Amino acid sequence: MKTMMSMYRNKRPQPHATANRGTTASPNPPAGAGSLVHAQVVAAASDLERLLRLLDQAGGDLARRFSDFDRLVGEISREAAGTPVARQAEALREGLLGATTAMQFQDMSMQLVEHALSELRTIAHRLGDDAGLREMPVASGVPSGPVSQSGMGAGSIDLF
Amino acid sequence: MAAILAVDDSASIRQMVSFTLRSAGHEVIEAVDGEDAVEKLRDNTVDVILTDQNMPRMDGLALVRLLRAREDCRELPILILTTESSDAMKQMGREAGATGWLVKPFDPERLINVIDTVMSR
Repeated sequence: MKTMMSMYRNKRPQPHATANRGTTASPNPPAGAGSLVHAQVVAAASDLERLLRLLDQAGGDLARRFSDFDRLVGEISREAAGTPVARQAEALREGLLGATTAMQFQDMSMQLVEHALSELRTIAHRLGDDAGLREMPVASGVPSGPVSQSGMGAGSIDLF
Repeated sequence: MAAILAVDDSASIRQMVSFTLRSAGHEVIEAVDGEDAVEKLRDNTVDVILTDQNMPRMDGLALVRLLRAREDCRELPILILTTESSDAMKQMGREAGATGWLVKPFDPERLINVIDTVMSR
């Protein structure tokens, strides 16, 4: 079965041609001062890769439990139709509906982490290449990721 | 009640969209990307399409352009639901022929209202 993690691979447009090489380690690690920076970048990328897996696992588990809960509440509503229990079940469903905005955290946070990871991979590979290192763009030149939101408040709606 | 095609490569987002729209009495058909959406449209008639923008194989804007070129989908409401919030992207959506641009995360009540609004146009 296809995992949620695999579904996210190659999902977003990558800002650099070198951004999606699959591993963080450079083929030619630099010597001297550059090696320390290179090691730190690789370590940071490794942490983000673990974070991505944690988000995928936690988000997938939450989504499954959300689905199970929804199905159970639906069954209770049908079996107890016309009774106070059915009304309580509907109140539960309303509560669940209220959680759907926050439940979208996984999609947004995984996109942000994937973008940061691709930037770190690019830096790690360029640090392994002296010519690439000299050509590294300044931070302000790095394109922003596909997620600009800084909170989980509902987004805007434009109808054309 | 409307038949809505929900297109997103994120399983969790498809689940949230489906749960929200089904709770309002709508029927929801799910697709994992633009190409899958086109496949689903071969066997199903829908009243509204709600699609993500950034997806593998075929993204939301490409899907909108492809469907707008088809006689049977020229008037079909197509809403983009995405994390992309820049004015430039919204303008691209408008030019492609999208009916609206919704930025994630969505609020369930507002999403249901938007579906009702575009259905009644």
